[in-house]
Amino acid sequence: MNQNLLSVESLRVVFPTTRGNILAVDNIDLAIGKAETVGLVGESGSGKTITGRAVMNLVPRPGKIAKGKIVFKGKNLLSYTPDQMRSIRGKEISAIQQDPLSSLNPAFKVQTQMTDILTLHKSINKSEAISQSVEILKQLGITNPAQVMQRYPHQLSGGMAQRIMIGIAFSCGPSLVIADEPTTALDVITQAAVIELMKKFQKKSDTSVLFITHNLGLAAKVCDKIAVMYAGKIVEFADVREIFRHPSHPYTKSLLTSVPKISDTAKKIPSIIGGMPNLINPPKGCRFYPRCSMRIPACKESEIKFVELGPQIGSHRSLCLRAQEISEIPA
Amino acid sequence: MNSSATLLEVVGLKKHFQGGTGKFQDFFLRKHTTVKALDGVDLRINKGESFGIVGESGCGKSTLGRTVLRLLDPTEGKIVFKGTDITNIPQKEMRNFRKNMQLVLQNPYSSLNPRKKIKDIISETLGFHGFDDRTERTKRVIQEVGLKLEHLERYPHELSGGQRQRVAIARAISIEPEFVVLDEVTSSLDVSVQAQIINLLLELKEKLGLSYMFISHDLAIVKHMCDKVAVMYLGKIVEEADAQSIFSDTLHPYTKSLVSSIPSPEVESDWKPTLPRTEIETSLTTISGCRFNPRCPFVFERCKVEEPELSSRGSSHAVSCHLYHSGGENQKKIELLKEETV
Repeated sequence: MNQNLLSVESLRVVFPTTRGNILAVDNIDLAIGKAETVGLVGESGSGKTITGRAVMNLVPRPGKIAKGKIVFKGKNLLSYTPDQMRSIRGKEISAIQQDPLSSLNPAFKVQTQMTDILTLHKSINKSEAISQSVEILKQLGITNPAQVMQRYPHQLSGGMAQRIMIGIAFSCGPSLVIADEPTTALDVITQAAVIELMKKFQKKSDTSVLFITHNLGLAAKVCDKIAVMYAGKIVEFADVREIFRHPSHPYTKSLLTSVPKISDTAKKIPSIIGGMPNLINPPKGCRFYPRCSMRIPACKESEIKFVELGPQIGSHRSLCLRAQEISEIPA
Repeated sequence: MNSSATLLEVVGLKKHFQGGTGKFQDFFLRKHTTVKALDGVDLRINKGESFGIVGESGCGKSTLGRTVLRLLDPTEGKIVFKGTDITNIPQKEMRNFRKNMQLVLQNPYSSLNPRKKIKDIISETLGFHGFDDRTERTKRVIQEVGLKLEHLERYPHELSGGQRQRVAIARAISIEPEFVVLDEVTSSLDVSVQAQIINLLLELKEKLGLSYMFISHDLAIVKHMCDKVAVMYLGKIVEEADAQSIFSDTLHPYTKSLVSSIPSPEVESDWKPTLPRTEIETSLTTISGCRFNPRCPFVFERCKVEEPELSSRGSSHAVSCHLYHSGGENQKKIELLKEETV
């Protein structure tokens, strides 16, 4: 376990409400190795974003981390003081959010926002920070860096703003970047360009990435390993090839078939009936039970445990009683 | 009913928006800039057909949808619906036509009135168009879109995104239109719900004989939904074909980069997007020649001076690109473009 850069251990995040506690993230384990890209996929409301926020100890109020450990480079981040945490955010762990135009401060020029983080974490003076920022912008494929530095976020296109966010996120050479739907707000062509850039930066500084997305196609092309989340739980975890070739959880399977593909010839797309369960007092058994096409009575009786399918422990696990059986059905 | 009867025809449609220059003094000098959201669009939608419009954000696809319904007044050009020229008729008379043309929007959170119950949302539209049997129709139509009668008593905030989009669809089909403009109807939904909505739309089209104008940026969905597809770039259609051949026989370099940029959810195939050279230019700047020429990897001299016209290649395929109209000299480039097409 020690070679992992980050390991999340039995993490639980709750949001207290007047009707009871919402278990947004319920008892999940996740490990990310050095220079690895781990995808966190699932529908909206499955707890992907909250997991990402929890890693940085930034769960939005009134939510709180009720249980678990976030072990980063051998130390539990949850035991850090706010000051210690601040020295890690941006330097060791940084984030790229979904909407670049709302994560950049509209009142400051690109230059200020890029140099701030450098002067804070790298203890260099302003002119050095400016020349480094220009260098970063050049690497981002921006042809007129000096002009772009003087612009405000509203003067940038979505693709340009997201490139700058990537530049800022990677500027201090972090060990881990949490990319939360970094391309969802972008067009396909821009998306492809932005992903290419992100990969380039990642390679250069051996960064690990927690890639949060609902786009399975993108996850297939970007990630090394994939964790599928459903209703606050990780239901399946495996190597990217394994997930796509031998999906072993009914949810993963139906998620894969419900994405329309260009290579498909049939008109009708298989869909999943119903919606996500209420996360206040979730049912004891499997949370996918009401929507599952392969359910058996035993599924709702007791808590489901992970079934190991891979050659090593933890290489491919599925939270399903019939995982073995399902993995043998061709995808 | 003749299946190839034209329902909607658009000729040379232009929609220009005027805006300020961003400079204070220019406001008094009445200087302005023009955004050419639509700059000469021709298309024809047949009865019972679903016609896809794809393109990046800012290419004018939503403006096209709205202009066709006369929710925006065109700057130039002609819109003919069922043989009647509706380009200049007054908005009051337009109501009669809107009985036959409806619109479903992207975001079901903002397109439904939060203060009204679902039954009132639907029956308001029915009342507006003078239907008497409102209660019965509301009940029938809500079941048609796969919801239950109990949903009629609820408010929009009590429904999920997918259910809301079903209500928006129910409202559109309640007055039995022949033509529905679907503007990015699935882009705010999750994949599993998206599949449900697409299946519903396909089913309704069969059952009620609807024609769709399906506006989307997701090519894979367009392929599932549509019979014909038009690709738009900066206010113009650059390629048009039936849904099959636009993917199997891509002609325009822009379509090529669009198609190759989609990451398919498979691990077997590699993802090799052929990216344009630069980022999108805004529609503010005037580009001489072909609009795509500053970004096109296959650009040559003629592209910079002369604007290509949309001309047909084969029975159901049209493209506006000089590569295909320059004799043999560009054969190599065409082959190169084809080769990369999977």
